[in-house]
Amino acid sequence: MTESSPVYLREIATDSLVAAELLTPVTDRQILDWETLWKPATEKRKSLLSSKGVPASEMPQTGHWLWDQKLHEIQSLISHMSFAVTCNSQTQGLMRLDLATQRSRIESTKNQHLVYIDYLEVAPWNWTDPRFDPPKYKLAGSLLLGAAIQISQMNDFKGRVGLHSLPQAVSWYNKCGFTNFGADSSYKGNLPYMEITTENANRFLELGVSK
Amino acid sequence: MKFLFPAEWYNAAAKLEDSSTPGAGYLARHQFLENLFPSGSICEQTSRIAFSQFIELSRRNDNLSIEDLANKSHIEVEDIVKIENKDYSYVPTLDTISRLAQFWGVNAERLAEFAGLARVKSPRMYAQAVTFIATTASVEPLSQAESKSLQEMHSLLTCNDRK
Repeated sequence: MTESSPVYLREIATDSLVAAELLTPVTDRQILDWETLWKPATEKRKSLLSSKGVPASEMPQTGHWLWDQKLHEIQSLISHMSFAVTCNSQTQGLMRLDLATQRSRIESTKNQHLVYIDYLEVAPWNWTDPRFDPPKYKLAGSLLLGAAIQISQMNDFKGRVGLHSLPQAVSWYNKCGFTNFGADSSYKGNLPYMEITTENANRFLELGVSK
Repeated sequence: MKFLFPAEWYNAAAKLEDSSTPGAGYLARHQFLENLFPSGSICEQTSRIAFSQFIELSRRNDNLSIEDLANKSHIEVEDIVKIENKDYSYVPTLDTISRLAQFWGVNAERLAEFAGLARVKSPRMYAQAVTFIATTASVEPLSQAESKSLQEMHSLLTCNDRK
């Protein structure tokens, strides 16, 4: 059964916080949104860039994951979890977590359990890309990362979270307190492996809270 | 399961996101690898065959009956029967995998990948699984009963009579 937590997203047009939901696990409704809303919006953006002769290296770095398959793969697995952020009856972000197969690479916690973010993606209309309109909502990615950290805490992994970051997101993960281990040759595309410590995970969850 | 974020968190987190688009996973140009090893594909089936074969050969190598293995590793006999008979509708639990891995001193995570509890991520592991299956296939002469069964099956497959 899907559980829902009330959260907020920042609506850029009104510069205000609007009510949203953090859901786990992802339901068919969110898959339908991905199929009928995300995919056409992504294709439209990619077609526009292609028509302008934009090279493949400068195309959007997301929008290619088949979320229906990604979620089907983990349906009967207790080792994985899925999350969605919804707002205004639309899916704004999706995430898949692996709680079993990855271990910490930070020296002081080496080989200890962590939550690994397999995939994290926000809806195409929430992308920050100067070639298109400003994003509709912000914070979907932050909420999903916050949920991953809280899942890590709930599982006694002490907030440790690891992931392979898309190039576009490295600076954001740095600002969130992740340690960048550099390009990982064992991972598709040599993407940088990044991990957040217990201390920095706590700091991330307490952002803005004065002590 | 409820997730809580303090009221002050939202504005501070929004400032951090600022000009970024959060994302984690592999790049679009590596989608071809996903197509090579999709879920439910021959890759997944191959790893399950390798897993079943590994359990059976390890047990026989230790001269253990299925019941012996069940007793020593504290696993139900039925679970081992389903694993060795390649019952793919049966998904072993992490606990079963963990006990088997401990019994033979192998890596539980790797074994879980082969068992279908986690996806086989490495092409090298897939290649190794294929090699393992191919090289461990029995070359023992058939027993009389096996030979007789094979001949009957052969006759059935070569017979044109559809009755």
